[in-house]
Amino acid sequence: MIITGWVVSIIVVMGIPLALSASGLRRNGFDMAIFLCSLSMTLTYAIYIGLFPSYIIVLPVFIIILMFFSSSGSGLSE
Amino acid sequence: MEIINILDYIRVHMEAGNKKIRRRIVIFAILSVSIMLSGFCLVDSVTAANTTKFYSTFESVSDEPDWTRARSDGDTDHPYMSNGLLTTSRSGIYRSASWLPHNYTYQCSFFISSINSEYNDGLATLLSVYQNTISSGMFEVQVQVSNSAPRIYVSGYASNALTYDHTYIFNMTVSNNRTCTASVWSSTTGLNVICTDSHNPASCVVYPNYQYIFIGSLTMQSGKAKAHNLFFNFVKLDYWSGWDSPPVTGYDNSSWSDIDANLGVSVKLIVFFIPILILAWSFGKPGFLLGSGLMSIIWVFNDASFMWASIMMFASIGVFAYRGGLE
Repeated sequence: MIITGWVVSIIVVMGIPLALSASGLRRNGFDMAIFLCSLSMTLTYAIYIGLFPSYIIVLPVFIIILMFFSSSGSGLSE
Repeated sequence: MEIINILDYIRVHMEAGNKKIRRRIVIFAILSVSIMLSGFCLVDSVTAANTTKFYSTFESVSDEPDWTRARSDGDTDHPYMSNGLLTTSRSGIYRSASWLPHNYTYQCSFFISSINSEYNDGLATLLSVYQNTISSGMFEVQVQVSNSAPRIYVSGYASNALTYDHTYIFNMTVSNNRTCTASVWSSTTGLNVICTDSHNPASCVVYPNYQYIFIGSLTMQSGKAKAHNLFFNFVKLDYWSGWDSPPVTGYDNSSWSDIDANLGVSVKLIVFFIPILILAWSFGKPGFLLGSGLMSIIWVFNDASFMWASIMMFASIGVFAYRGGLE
């Protein structure tokens, strides 16, 4: 049951960024920038509400660093 | 620059006279704002409803305390208190434990946030916790306010003084006859376990893996001042290590599961992102930036109590605005 709970949690946390990035399909295609940002936000929110343990915070930090040092302002979406 | 881009995007489409896009902008703006203001503000009651559904004996946490009555009691300095007692105790802290499986040890915690604390002096030094055993099977935690010697009292045992921004954790064992024992330690001092019952070493054992059972949080607020957040979480311990035998599970657990436990928090997570999804769908990247920014602001002013979470949320949005690439 614990594994099942984790699967549900991961589906929820991954599904939201996927839906958000896919929502731009009509205009921009799959948008990696939206995906990464929303993934960072969902992970943070999931940790905050107790869905994930706190050490998962490493992932949003990594995502933020990754985005910050990306090569160009619009590079992530291309 | 990116904010200007958003405004340019909207302005260009509005000035272009494209009725279809203009109509879509107006409709989704109205929809998004409505959902933001209503949906997210009601999310606590949504999760409370879920919790109530799965744990039918759980007392709803959505009841707001009567702050007006508290103030009319004459304690104008600290509107959260009435006659020295925390007025929210009945709605937020009284818990029924009759649904709890027996012969398990539960890890309970509470957290006192200093974020937005207008009344630091009012509550920080004025808290103690009692845990009582009630013959009817109700588990009860009371928070009592006193003017001196802030202490945690668990089963009558006084431990560390309470301070802000520390998570205090105690174990609670529900046995077959529904008696409760507890131990307390502070997150800042590590596993500084204080045994309150030497006959029950289970209350002194820390289990590394556990599954959260989301019951809800109590937000103490008064008017526009959202001063203190006090969280009570019950955590079911799933692994028993260093123990003679696993607990006997002589209860019917068909009515609840880990999925149920996750559902409440998942609902909260989804509702938070629905307005962002709508705005991203209607406006693309500018909509995503606008929606995530607005929802984060709403969330921070409504619910946030951990500074790190707020920082992470706004850092994500900020780095997206800086590097996300808004065409």
